[in-house]
Amino acid sequence: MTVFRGVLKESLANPGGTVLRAENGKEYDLYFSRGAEPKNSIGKNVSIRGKLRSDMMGIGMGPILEVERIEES
Amino acid sequence: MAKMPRKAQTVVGVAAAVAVATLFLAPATRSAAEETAPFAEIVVNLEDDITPEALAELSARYGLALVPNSAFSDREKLMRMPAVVDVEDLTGYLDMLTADPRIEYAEPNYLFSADFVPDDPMYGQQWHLKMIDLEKAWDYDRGDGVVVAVIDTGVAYEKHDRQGNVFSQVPDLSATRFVPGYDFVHDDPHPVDDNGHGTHVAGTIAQSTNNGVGTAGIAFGARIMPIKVLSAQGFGNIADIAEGITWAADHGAQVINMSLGGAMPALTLAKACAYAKKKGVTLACAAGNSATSRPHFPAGFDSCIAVAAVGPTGKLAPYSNYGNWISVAAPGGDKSAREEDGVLQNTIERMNPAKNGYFWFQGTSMASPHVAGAAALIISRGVTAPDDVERVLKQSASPESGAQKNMGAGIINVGRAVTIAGKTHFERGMYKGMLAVGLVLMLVRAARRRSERVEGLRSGVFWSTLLVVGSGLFFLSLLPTGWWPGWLSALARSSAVDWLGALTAATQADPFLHSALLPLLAVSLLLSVQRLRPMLLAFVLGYAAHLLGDAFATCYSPVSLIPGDFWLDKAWLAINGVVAFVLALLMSRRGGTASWRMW
Repeated sequence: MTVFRGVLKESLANPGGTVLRAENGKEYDLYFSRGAEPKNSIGKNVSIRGKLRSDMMGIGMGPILEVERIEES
Repeated sequence: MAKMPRKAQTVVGVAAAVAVATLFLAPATRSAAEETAPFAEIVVNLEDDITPEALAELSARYGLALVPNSAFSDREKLMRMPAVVDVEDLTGYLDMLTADPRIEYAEPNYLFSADFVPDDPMYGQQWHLKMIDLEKAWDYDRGDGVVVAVIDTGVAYEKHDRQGNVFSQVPDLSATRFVPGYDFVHDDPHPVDDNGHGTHVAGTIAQSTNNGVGTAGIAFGARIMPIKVLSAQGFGNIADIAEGITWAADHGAQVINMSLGGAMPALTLAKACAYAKKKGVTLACAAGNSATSRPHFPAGFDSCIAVAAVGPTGKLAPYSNYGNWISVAAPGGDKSAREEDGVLQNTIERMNPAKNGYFWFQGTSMASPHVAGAAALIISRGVTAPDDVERVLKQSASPESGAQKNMGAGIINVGRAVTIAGKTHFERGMYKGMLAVGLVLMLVRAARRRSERVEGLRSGVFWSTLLVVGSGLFFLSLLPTGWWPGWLSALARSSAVDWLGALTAATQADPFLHSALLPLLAVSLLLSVQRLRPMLLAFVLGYAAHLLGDAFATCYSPVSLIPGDFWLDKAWLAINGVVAFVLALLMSRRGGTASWRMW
């Protein structure tokens, strides 16, 4: 597991989906395998513990980050 | 040999002559029509204050037979008259009239034909369909019968109950036709949509159109094959996606749309895409939404058409990937200024299949189905091989929007694409027709060497059969046959050898039908029937021309069950074409029956 920090955004290409704009400028499509997407966290700085899923693809077409835990920072 | 009644021979002969005349005249007529819109009159706008005396003097001076255009033309003095000058003299003649101070201007009264405009009430908001010149394309084709697989989050196409979650069809897919698909996420044969993305994509391709409801789709005569490989959140694993591609190719898809992807060039995915293309499937794929020049996959594979997105101004959308790996661009929307600049279709609410509406989406996901729909229209015009479909898309794209902006060949133009596809099919048909005539000449020459003559060459039945079997009525591909039933159009312009494939929308040629087997059977059964000899000879020669034509054409003609690559398919066709021609040579000899039996 790795920790990613950044700001949550609404996905441009996956309506209703969520994206993390990380501190390094990269954007990750967030995959919530264990629960609902945190809609009220859009625009907030967060810290996400999760792993990159290179075995998956999606509508957003960015790198996919499977979320283990998400915390506002 | 028993002869046909003279009257019947004349009718058949005239029909054949008309067909051959159309064959040679059609290209010239078409290109002239494209260059100059037709007109039979000249419209003359006079100065508003011209007096009746001045009008009479003007008419007498130039010999003009001017009449008011309508009962409302008096105020503007808008007159018209028959166009009695040659087109070559027209410019000088109009300049002469316009130079007269009593005439504001004179110009041809062009006849404008009404393109097909669907009655869907929200069609006017679909700027993205107008951008690709779709109304012109619809005059020619609607993609009837072509099978387009939508590999996505599923499609809201049927009523289904999954563990208490009730799914139903969205209203604007009610007249859309579907073929069975598969859900690889839940492993069941009900690929219904629990996200909304797949239904939106399917709507762009084949939304029910001209049904007085909602929005229109591009190839609304096509059949959608829903394949669910993405979850309700819009994610899926590469194994499911690869299996979805293989399943679609094995179950009759002619086009696959994949509005999905990632940055990793997974080998499993590459193999599945290559397999589908080898089976004759055209793959349209979204280029990705990371605003980068780095290839995304599957779009970045050689087997796929990579589609970038543009907004309503025709500029590359700010999110769209770009670069020299892009094949073409298509409208994907750009909602940075306003919502209505997205792509509008009917779909379910996000992860809520119980509700539906019309939503503007944006992304290369939305651009790709524009290309998949265009591909269905091109295939429906008779150009079926994936490389040919891609070539037509690129040739017809608007070049001014292309290379300098890293958008491949530019924004697709479906109106031009169906015209080019029709011409391509026409040229291939003519090539096979000429090949058939060449084989007849070789037969005649061989007979002369033996001091014999080939019987039946004066028969209309011979030439008609040669045309229908060798090339089909290929000249029909230049005509606007959008209002014909799709199956009839496909049958009429296909060679008889391809009829089964045309009816079943096959992506590969049947190896038995595309062999000398049928000519051998026909000859062995019917050679002794004298009355049928001219028809039989033409059948065998037409068959030979068709097989040799496919063998030596530059396009790839995949034959099912033939292993390996391109060259084995070509070899199969060439060998069987030669066998059919040798058969024709044998049966054209005097005492052909005996030669055949000895052989």
